Amino acid sequence: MLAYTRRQLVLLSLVVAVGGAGLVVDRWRRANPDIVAYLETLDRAPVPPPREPLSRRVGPRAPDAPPTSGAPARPVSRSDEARSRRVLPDDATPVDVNLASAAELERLPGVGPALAARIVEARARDGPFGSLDDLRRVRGVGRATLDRLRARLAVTTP
Amino acid sequence: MPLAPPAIAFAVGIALAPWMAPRAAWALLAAGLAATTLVLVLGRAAHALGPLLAAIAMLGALRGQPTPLATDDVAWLSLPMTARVEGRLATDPIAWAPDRVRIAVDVARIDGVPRSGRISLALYGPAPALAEGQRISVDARLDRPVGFSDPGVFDAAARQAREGLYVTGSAPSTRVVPLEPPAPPWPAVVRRFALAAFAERLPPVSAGLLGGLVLGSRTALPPDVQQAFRGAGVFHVLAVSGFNVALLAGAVWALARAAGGGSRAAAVSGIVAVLGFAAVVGPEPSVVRATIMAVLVLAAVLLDREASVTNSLALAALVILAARPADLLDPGFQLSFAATAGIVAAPMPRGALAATLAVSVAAQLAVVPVALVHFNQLSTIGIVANLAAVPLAAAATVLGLLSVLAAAVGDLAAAAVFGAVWPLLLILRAVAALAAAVPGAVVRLPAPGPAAIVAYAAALAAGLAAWHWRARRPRAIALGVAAALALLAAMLLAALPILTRGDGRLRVTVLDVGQGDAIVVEAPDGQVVVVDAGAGGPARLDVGERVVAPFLWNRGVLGLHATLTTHDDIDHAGGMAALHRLFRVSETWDAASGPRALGGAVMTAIAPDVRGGRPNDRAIMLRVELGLATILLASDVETAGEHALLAAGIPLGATVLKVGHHGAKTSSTAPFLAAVRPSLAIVSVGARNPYGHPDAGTLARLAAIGARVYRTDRDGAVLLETDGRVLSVTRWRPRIVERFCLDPETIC
Repeated sequence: MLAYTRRQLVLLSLVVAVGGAGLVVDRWRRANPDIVAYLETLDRAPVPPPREPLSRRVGPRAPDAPPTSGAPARPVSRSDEARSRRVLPDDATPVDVNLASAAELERLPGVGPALAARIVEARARDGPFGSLDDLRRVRGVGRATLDRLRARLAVTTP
Repeated sequence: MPLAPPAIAFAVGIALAPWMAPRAAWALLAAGLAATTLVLVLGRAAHALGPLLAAIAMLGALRGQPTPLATDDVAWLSLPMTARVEGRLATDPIAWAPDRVRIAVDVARIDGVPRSGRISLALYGPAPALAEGQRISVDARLDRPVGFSDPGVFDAAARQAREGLYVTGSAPSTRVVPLEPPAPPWPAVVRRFALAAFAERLPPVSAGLLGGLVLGSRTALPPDVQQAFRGAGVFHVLAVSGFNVALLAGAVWALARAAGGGSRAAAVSGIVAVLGFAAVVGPEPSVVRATIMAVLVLAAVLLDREASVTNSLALAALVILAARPADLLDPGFQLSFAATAGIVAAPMPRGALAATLAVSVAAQLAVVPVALVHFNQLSTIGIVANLAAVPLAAAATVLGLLSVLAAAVGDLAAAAVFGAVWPLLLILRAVAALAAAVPGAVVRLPAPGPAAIVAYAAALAAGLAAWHWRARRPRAIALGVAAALALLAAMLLAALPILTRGDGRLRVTVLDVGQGDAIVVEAPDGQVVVVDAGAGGPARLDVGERVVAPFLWNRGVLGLHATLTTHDDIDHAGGMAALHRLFRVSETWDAASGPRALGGAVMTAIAPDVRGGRPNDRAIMLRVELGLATILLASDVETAGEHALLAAGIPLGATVLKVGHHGAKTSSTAPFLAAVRPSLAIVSVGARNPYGHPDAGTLARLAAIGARVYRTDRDGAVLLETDGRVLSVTRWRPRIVERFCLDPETIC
């Protein structure tokens, strides 16, 4: 006991108190994930930005489960991909040209890697597409291509 | 020895550099030194200070001259070009939006030819796994940085040029080829480890907040939360600053002393910790300042000397400015030094609460001009909000620093520390959100001019002096009165743009917003109508917030009479939401809005009656008339819309035409131009846009009817000003003003 100065005792008890409180909070946090999630949203803007969840879903960082197709989680070969294109139902979720990754766009009929890259590049360079017709600014997207794809495409504009 | 006067002289010299020829600076330096020597030889040491400080100012002016570029610098490349860039990453990649990463490359070769200099590259697509110091090769499109050239608006290209960045580029991330495996230096490793630990053990937003508090990394923090911190006036806790450094030094000092170390051992461990921290968070001016000051103060302990805080502040300024003179204009540098100088100069009362309040007030008062000049923003709630936010942020930062160690030690320690820090983060967020929600928490004002800033500084100095001499009544009262008068003068000078609105002239400004339209119409009575607000929205630069709003604030416009969104394309409507958020808007006009008279000017919305076709053809035009001047803003209307207007027999004649659809081929048809017969035509268009706007044929048609053409991509903002008889046009980038007489019968 006498080995400690008053100051050291204060510091030690502070460390113990903070650590103990931390452990309690940590346990509670694990036990009540719903309340944690609710608390985390309290100061957020009332309407969460619609882009975030969508881009996370179709984004390249989660390529294993694209929502627009029943493509398998394993790496797809080109022939696999072609097959999956053919079996795509027509009422599949439209691909958003402003949010989709190049891989997403490649799943569209008649869109190869080169065209998909050009669309992504045009979007990154000059900003999102204002409308589907705006896609025409991409080299290689003509009226025919656009009309063919129209049903499968969507545009999110803020 | 007081170092503040030389530091101030040096800074003044750097500020004067753009107006000083190097030869004149050399001559004045020699003259100053000669005068100093002469005065000293004559034995009048008291008079030597003036010429000596002048000589130091000239040293600053010489340092502030742009450094000549090496002959192989990338700045000499003929741009634009597509090239293979080979070099090392100067920093870790910075993610600024989903699927967008920015990297700075220290160039070794361009297309195999040795080159030097730095290029900033925007990579799009999946974020590549790259690290600071890694050698890479990438095929990129290179070009000069493009900024917006508008009055009272931040020009990104000018700032990059000050920082020695003359080339930017873009490439898909898939084209990046690493030439060696990533081997980040230890500071980058620590940084990544810390951010990964935060992300793993905390919910995303809280993790982002802790990253900001501890490391100043705000990329994981959603914009709305950042906006709340800004609105509450506590944004400074999200940047690494002297605050973090002081906390770290203090914590290490306390720990070392408690562990039984002597003051010298504590000082040494403090210095080591502070230097390590600075290496991890990077050389922001505020970090360098705080690190230098902390090291000097701790070294004074080590050497048993009295530490002078003022001197260490001045020395920090000298070191930073000598190394990077361009930092003088950096908002971070100015905020950091202004706040610290305020805290150092202010009288500190006794008692913890009073002292905290005094620190908060002193820092807030000192940064008022900086925040107004750079952000047009005056936080009214900040002084109160900081009382709660600063202690919370301090505790969270110390725990956050500790959590990095704990995460390295093991699971139990990490659980304890992260469990302890999370409630603090939640409370801090709640404080920021509540404070920002108070009405009037942030007041937006025009940037004060130099005269107003000088008057304000004089008021603060006189106020301090009055406090200093408070024992001697008459002198203190005189100084207090002087302070009040100077403050009044500062407020009047700063409010001048607001007080002088409505001078009977109509002003129409076609802003340079890149590819897009944003037009501000100022009626003769000072009321303002904004027609389109450029591109905007999340995940891209919001022109409404970054260009239109600062332009309006600096014009003294605090509320809008009306906005008109001509059509929903993102390059016209995108920035409008931000304007409605930042300004009180009385009316929203649309196609059905009838003609309005504002201060003698008549504004009429004209909507082409077109069924089907392209949305552009249904865009709303606005005709603005005052006296003999008529200005037609043709939005994006194309051929079908123009035909519809002609068929409907709507009068279209105008002195000035804002050319439709950025000068596209499908607009400004010959019959339409024949009906408008503009003398002047303005094309609002982005440099290097991919649409090929403006079309050569359109420009030829405009030339054929004798219209003089202005283009925002070359001329910057185009400002029209008229009293109804004389029209003057200012091209903002070259600052050229032309006057046109509208009445052919008279001489003006």
